[in-house]
Amino acid sequence: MKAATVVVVDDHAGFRATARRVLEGDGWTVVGEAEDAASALTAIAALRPDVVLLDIGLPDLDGFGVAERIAEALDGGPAVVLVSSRDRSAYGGRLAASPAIGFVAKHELDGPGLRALIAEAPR
Amino acid sequence: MRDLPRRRIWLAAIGVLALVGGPFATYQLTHTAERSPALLLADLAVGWSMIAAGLLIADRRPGNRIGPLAILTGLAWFAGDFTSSDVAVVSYLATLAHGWFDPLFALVILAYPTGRIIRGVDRFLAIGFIAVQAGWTIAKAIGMRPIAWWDCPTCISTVDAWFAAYLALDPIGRVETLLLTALSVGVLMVVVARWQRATGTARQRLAPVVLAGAVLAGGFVVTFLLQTIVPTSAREPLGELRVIVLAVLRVLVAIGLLIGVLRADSARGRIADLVVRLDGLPPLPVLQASLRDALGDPSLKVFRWEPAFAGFADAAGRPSDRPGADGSGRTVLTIGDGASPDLVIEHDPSLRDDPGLVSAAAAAVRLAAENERLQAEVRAQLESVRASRARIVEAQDDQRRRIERDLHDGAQQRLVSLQLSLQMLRRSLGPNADAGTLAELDAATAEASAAIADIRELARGVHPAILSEAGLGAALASLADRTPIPVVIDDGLDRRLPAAVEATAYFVVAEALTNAIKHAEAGRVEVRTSLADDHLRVEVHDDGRGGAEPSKGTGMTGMQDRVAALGGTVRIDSRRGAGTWLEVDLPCALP
Repeated sequence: MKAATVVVVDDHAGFRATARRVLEGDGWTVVGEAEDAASALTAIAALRPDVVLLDIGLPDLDGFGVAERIAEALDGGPAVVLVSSRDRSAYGGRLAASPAIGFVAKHELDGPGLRALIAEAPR
Repeated sequence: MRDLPRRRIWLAAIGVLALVGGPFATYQLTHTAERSPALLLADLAVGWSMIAAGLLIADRRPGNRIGPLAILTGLAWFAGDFTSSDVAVVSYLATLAHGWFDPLFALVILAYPTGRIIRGVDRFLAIGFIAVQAGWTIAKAIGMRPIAWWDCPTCISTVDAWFAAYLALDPIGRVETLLLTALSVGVLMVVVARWQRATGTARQRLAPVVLAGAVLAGGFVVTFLLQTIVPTSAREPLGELRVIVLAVLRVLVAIGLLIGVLRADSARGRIADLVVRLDGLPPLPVLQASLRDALGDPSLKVFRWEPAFAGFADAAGRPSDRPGADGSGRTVLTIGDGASPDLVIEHDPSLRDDPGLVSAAAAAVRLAAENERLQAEVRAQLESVRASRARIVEAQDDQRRRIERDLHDGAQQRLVSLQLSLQMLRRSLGPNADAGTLAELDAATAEASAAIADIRELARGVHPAILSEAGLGAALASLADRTPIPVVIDDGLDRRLPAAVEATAYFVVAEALTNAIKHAEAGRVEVRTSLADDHLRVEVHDDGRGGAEPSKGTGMTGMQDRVAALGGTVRIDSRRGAGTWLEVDLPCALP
C-alpha cells in the first residue's frame, strides 16, 4: 500500500514533532507542517495531502473553522481529522456538525488508529 | 380628640348666647326711638352673620384668628345696641363697647385670609384703628363718669344727664370719626392694591375684602359727611336707609369672608397633600401642576436649571431667560444653592401676602428635591456596586478560562508528547526486548496517562471548555454524562447566552448535583432550562431526602452570591423528605 500523505497542523512545535515521529513510524508520509490556520490553508492547497491532522486550538481560526474552509475550498479534498489535548466531550455537538471525518485525543494518537478512522469514514 | 368637644362646647355656648342675646340687643334700640322692623331686622342680621361666620371659621380653622376676631366683631355690634338700654349702668358700659365694631372689622379685613397681619402698612393701620378707638373709649369712660348713675341706675333723669355728657364729648367724637375715616380709606386702598396685584383665583379670593374695605370706608365717609355737612334735620331718614344698606352689605361681607377663609385655608391642607404627593421630584410639568393646585395660582411657573445649555428651561423643556428678571413684577422663589439654584418658582406676587404658605410649598419642593438627590445617589451607588460585582464575576470567569487553557497548552501538551514518545519507544524495542524494561515502559506510560487524565479533570473543574465551545446545553449534557446518578436534562435554550450567565448557571447546576449526591443521597435529578423575557430560568429537582439549608453550606452560598452579582435570584425549597427544588433566575441581556 502506498504511503498516505499527511499535513500536521498544530501551534505547538513539540506536538508536531511527536506526531511526525508517531505517524512516520507507522508508515505515513508527513509532507508538511503548519502552526496556524492561515499557513495551514496555504500548505494544504499546495501539498494536496490525503489527510490533515488538525489541532482545534489554533491561535487565529480554530480547527472547526479551518475544517469548514477546507471543505468549502477543496471539494473532494483531504480527510480532516481533528485533534486536541482535551477529550471529545469538551466539544459537544460541534464535532458531529463539523465536516471533519473524525476526532482523536492527542494522547491516543497512533498510525493504525488514524488509518482505521479514515477507513471507517464515509467518503 | 379630647380637646375638641370642650372647644365645641365653647363655640356652641357663644352661638346660643348670640341666638338669644341678639334679638334682645336689637330690642334695646326701641327704647330710645321708633324703629322700623326693617332696621331692627338689619341690625340683627349684621350681628348674627358676623358671629355665625366667626363660629364656623373658629370651628373649621381653629388656628386662624379671624374666627375669634369675627365673633368679637359681632359681639361688639350687639353690645353697641345696649347704649339704648333703659338701664343706665348697662347703657354706660355699652357706650364704651360701642364703636369697636368697625376697628375689629378692620382687623378682620387686614388679617384676611390667614388670620395674621404681617406687612408694615397693614400693621400701622391695625394699630391706628385700635389706638384711636381706645382713646375714644377712654375719653367716654372719663367724660361720662361724673354722672352719678349709680345713685339711681334706672332713672330716666340719669340717662338724660348721661346723654348730655355724651353730647359734650362730641368734638372729641368728631376727631375720632375723622381719624377712623382716614384709616378706613387706608384699609380700602390696601385691599384694592392687593386685589390689583393678584391674578386668577387669588384675585377672586380677595373680592370679599375689597367689598368689606369699601363698606368700612364707605360707612365712615358717609358718617363723616353726615356729621359735618348734612343738616341735622335731614339726618334721620338718611340714617335709617344708610343703616339698612350698610347692614345688607355687611352681611354679604361676612358670608364672603367665611367662604374666603375656608377656601384659602384649605391651601394649607393642599400643602400637606403636596408633601405627601412629592415622593421624590416628579417631572417638571407634574410639579408645576401640583404647585399651581396647592397654591391656587394658575399662573405659577416652574423652571429647572439645565446644565446642558447653562440656562433655565420651563416645564415644557423650552429654554427660558432667567425667570422673574423680565420686570413683570412676578415673584421668584429659588430652590437649591442661592447663587446657582436648581429650581426657580415664579408665582403671583399676591401669594406673598401669605409667606408661610409659599415657604411651606417651597419647603415641600426642597424636601422632594433633596429626597430625589439622595435617592439618585443611592441608586447610582447601588448601580455601581452591582456593576462592579458583575465585573468581578466576569473577571473571575476570564481567569478560570485562561487557567484551563494554560493547563491544556502547557503541562497537558508536554505530557501528551511524553506519552506518545513512550509508546513509540516501546514499539521500537520490538518483541525481543527485555521484559523488565517493557514493564518499566508500560508503567511510565500508564503514569503519564493518569497525569493527563488528572489534569483534564482539574481543568474541567476550573472551567469546562465545552461551556465556551458549545454552550450551556451541551455543557449540562456533558455534566450529566459524568454524574454517577441518572440526570434528565430538559434543555429549553435555542441560543447562546452571555458567558457569565452560562458559567453561573453551569456552576449552580454542578453544585446542586454535587449536593444531591453527597448530602441528599438522591437517586435521580431533573434539570430544566428555559428562556423567557431575557431571563434564564434553571430548575433543578432531586428526589433526595431534602432538608437542605443553603445558609449552612459554603458551596450554595457562593453560588447565591454569584447569581446575585449578575442581578439574579435563587430560590430553594427543601422540605425534609420532599426532595430539593432549586430555581435560579438570571437576567441575560442579549449578547
